[in-house]
Amino acid sequence: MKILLAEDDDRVAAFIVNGLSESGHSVERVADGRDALSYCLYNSADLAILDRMMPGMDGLSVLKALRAATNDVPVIFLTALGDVDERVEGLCAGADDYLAKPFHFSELQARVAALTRRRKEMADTTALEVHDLRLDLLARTASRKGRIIDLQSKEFVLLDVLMRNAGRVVTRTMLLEQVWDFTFEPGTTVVETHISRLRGKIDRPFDVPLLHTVRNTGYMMHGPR
Amino acid sequence: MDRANVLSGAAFRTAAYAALAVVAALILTGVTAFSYLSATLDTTLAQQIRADEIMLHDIYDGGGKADLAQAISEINNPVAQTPRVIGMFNADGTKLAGNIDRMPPLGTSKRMVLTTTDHNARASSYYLNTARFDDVTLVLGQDLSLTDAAERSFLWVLLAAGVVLTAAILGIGYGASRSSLIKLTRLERTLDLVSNGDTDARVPVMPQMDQIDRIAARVNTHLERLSGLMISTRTTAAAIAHDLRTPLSRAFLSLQDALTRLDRGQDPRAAIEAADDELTSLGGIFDAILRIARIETQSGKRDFKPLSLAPLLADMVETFGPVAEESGQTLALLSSSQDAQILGDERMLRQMLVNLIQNTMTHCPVGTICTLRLQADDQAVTLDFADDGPGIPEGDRIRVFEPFYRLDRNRTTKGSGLGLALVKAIAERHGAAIHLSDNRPGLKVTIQFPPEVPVKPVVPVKKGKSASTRG
Repeated sequence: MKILLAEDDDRVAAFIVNGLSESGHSVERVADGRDALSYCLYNSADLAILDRMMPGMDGLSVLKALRAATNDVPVIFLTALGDVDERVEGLCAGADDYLAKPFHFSELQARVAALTRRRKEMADTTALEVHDLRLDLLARTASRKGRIIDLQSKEFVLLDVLMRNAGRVVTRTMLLEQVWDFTFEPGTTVVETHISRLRGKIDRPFDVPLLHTVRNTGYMMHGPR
Repeated sequence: MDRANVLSGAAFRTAAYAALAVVAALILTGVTAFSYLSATLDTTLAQQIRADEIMLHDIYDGGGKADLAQAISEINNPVAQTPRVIGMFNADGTKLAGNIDRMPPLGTSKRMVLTTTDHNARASSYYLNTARFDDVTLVLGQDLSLTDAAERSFLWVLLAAGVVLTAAILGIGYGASRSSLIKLTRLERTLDLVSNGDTDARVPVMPQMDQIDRIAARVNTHLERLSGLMISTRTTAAAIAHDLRTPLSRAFLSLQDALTRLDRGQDPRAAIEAADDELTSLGGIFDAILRIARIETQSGKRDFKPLSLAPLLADMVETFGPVAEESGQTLALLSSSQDAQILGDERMLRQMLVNLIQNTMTHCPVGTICTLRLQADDQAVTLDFADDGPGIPEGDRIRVFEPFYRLDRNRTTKGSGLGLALVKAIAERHGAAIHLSDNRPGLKVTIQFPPEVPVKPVVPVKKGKSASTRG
């Protein structure tokens, strides 16, 4: 995976470059918005991580220029401008994800992983499968080993998000954003409670657990390994 | 007081323009009146001269040169009341009778300065007329000094009136300008005082309530609000500093603990995680502060969309119902009006509801029942959020909306003290009134939104009638 990182703070940049390199990505770092734009235009990066406030050209302008040039490289904003409006602005401009600073590296890692594979699979899936669990997106039903599982609407969306990212970590914040549309910390055990209820329905009656907790990071769906 | 400032005042400038106009009007009427006056005086003199001439002509017709000369010397009585010029000359210009020695050159202007041969006579201005009887030239003239004097005094009166009027107008203008300058200076000084931090300074308002006083009253109202904001900003800043120090110091302690553990060869993981938690909560406080500031400074309903509250509430209960259940509490939607439409921002409203629920769940004991009720009528969309927990004492009900205000003075319970401040900011941003009351027992939060009034399609006026009358 070739990742472009546009970040003007050297310490933050070094931290991210180290972390992503350790996970096996090759990272090119630039500190200026114009360099980021020309890199993306003349090289084929698999993913771009952009700061919003950079010298030369701000991240939002870089993204708009990229999209105007019909360059559809996946873009994650990683920025201190974390307010709802700024976030909406970034996503509307064509960003694929938005992560506010300060952040945990595991959060960034999970989002990078989710994005780099999303493209290929997305499209017109009508059903998701993990091991023997099946989610029918058209009929909006879940079944395991042929047994229909009765799900509340939020539980369905939760399972949908988890199964789309099967094999990858989905963080608590990602779930809050994608399932509940919360761009803030609700301060209660919303995610934990709903995960535990979901487990009660899809895992507990069966012998093989599919929904796993990744310590300090989030959750992951996968079959027996 | 700086005179230049007074002179540049609007009142003085207006007065100066008025004075200019008055002077122009005076000059115009003066010129007209003066020419009329002098024409009238000249006509009168010419008529007198004409009458004398006719009389003398009769004498000449009757008795010839000798009688005329005789009559002239009789008329020319040196003690006559008004000096006049009379002269009789031959065709060659030699004097036959009268009180002038030489015949004035003819064809010149009718006004002429002459000295008569009368006793004690001085040079004076005369109105002259020359007539010819055969070979005799008769010169008759009337003294102009009286009419000149009349004309001169007319001009003087006019000038005096002009000067007095101009001075009066400029004086009034100066006075008015000065008094408004005094008021404006006070206004300026007050604003300076306030901007330098004196939140109690106010502009004096005079009872006559002229335009400036009315502005001063308005300025005072604004200063009142501004001072309130300044004071609350100061206290908020202090509260922020105080509240941020707690998680910060806890994070420090945890990190030091982690180092100690490392030195002792123990596992520092728990301590590092604790520090991480504290720093995360610190970040949360920052986010909440920024969010409140953002919501409070935004204005207008640019991004607001018509939305229905009922699905939002159902969503909330589905999301938080199980969470409440786990902590032994109950969250229930009692009634929900499907036509509760408001104009709003869904994300903000969702956060508002989450904060309210979170607030109840953190501050109420196990067994608390929390209910939501949504009603709608023409006047308002009303959301009641009630619990049967410990409630809030009446005196604290307004203060709980202040940032960092907590009922728990020791700040031992969880929470940043910003949740309700954010709720209030969001409600106000939506033009909603928020009100706390006693639920007997418990707390009832009532939020009243202005309903979204759907734009009614304009019903076209029936045109049949007017069209038929026109045809």
